[in-house]
Amino acid sequence: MERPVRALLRRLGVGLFLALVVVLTSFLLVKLDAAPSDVLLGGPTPAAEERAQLVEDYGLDRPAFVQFVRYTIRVLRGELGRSWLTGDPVLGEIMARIPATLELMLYSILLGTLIAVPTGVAAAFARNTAEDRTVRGASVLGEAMPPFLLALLLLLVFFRWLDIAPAPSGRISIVLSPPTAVTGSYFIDSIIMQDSIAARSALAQLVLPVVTLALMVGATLTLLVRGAMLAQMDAPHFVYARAQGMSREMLTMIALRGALPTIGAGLATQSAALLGVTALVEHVFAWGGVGQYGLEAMARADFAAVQGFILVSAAFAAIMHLVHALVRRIARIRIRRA
Amino acid sequence: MSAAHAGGATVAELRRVSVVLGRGEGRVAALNRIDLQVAEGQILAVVGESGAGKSTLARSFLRLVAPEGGAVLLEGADITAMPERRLRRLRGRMTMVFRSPGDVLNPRMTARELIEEPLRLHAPRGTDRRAEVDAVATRLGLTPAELVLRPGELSPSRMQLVGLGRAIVTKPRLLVLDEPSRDLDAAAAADLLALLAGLREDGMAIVVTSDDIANVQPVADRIAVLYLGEVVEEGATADLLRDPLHPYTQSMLSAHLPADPSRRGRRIRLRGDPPQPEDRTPGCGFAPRCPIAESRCRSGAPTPNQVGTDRRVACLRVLEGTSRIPLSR
Repeated sequence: MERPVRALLRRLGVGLFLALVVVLTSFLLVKLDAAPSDVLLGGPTPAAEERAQLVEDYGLDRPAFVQFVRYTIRVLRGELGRSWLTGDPVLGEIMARIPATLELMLYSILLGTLIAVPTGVAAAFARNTAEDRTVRGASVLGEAMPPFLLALLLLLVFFRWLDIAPAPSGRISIVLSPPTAVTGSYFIDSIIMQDSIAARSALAQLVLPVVTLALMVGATLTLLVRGAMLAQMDAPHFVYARAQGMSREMLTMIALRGALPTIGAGLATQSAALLGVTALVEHVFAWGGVGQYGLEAMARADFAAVQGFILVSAAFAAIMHLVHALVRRIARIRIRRA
Repeated sequence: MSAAHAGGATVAELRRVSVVLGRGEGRVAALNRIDLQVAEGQILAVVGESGAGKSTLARSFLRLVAPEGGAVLLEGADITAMPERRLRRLRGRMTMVFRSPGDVLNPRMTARELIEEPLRLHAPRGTDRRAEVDAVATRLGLTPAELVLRPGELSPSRMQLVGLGRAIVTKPRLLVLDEPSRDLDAAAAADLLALLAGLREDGMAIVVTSDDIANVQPVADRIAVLYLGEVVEEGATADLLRDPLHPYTQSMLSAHLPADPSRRGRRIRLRGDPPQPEDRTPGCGFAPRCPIAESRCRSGAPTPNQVGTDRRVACLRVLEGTSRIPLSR
């Protein structure tokens, strides 16, 4: 078999094993509480027939192993149970919220990268100067800052004091109705529908949450870019290029090319872990995405919903790492060809 | 500083240059108060064991490392604190040949493109770059057939010539070579020395480092012996070889077979391993391995002393004339 194919299969195998671990974790979540599972899944006051239905569905009267197998099969079929609060299937509720979260994360990762790469590069070139120390200090501060606190601070300044940002009331002004769903992004859908008022509102709503998340992403990434650049700058070919008198731009390209794999890996790791941070930010801005859904489910002990959130988070992280692995593989094949 | 150097005006100078590498726990003093200068039409050889600081010293001349103290001068101008942006314009006037050319030459470029690249950066508009490259190639003995090859298709010694071509195509005033003969066989190393002698005739100031004095001695006008980041002895080549005054120089020279078989040399064997900068003890850096070290050598660090008219030696015993290691038992 071709080597790339085999490597990909191996990665899939590892992925399957990890998926099983995640399902087990989500399954055990309900088992860890002293209360019977049917009570947890059915909410605080389940009716007798509801409980009977749950016992039937999950095989709660059977041994734990059988329960786990049944649960796994249900997950594989996309049956994540119903939220006791709304009575709706958890999977549907989550799917409806994914576009909101994805939009937020995508823009944040993009903006964070746009901030981090030039800043990190500048800091690396200015190694150990006041400029470098300032960048490092700000990055450490950004890393240490809880996301919800940063979100609240930004709201305080730009909404409350300066009054140039809209109220944190979700993805579009409350007086407007959301555009017809095409991509799920209110901003893009408004543009497709040629509704400039809705587009402007959707964009305005995006600014603060995206800036919050981008600063969080950017802080960590800046330090990573700086470190990766410095490692490259000690390499013989870089010193040689410097000795040649190459311009700052040429030197940046040379070092950045070598630093790219490190930066890519860091970006993937960060993106995979971003959902947790996003959840807090979504909560502050009433974004109505998956993260907020998961947080609220935890607060209300909506166990089926929490289980669903765990599975989706894990799937998201897995997808991010898989994308990274694929990009790396393609890049490596290109290098070999060159 | 002696003014009796062969050749003309001073081109490059290190004045009490100290360099610290690494940060935090890993900080080591790589160079300690180095005083060296090289004049036009002069070849200065810097010899020392690996870890002595040869590469750092080579890079210091070109301000590729920022010194912690002291001053770096190029043609009389202080470039110690010059920002990289302005240094860049000088990099056609001071160039460097790195050891292991395979690590630094862009594998995708042909030899011609590699030699031409510095001209793109530094030559004035309207320069006939092709002609310049051809002239350099002829001088180095690179054939037209070799000019279309990429580094991977050239032998190490030919690759090194491409590196030298890049370094001289802009007609620099200062040429620094860091262990250029490291990857070369003996014949190629001899050819390289002949080329350097030719460049000296053009008035270039040349600094060349080596871990083996034999690699550079045939063309060197002056030799500086580096030990643990310090110049322990410096002087005119013939003078220094005839009568080495620092115990380290003596031991280093005794490791070579004498040219005259009837004059059987005695090998001075040093105790211990070549030192690392992080193990530096107070006092003279060479004292732990010196056969004639005294107790005062371990407490007070010697400063380079002028001996005669044209020699500097950093040894406490040199002033009393007792720095020669006795060869009889």
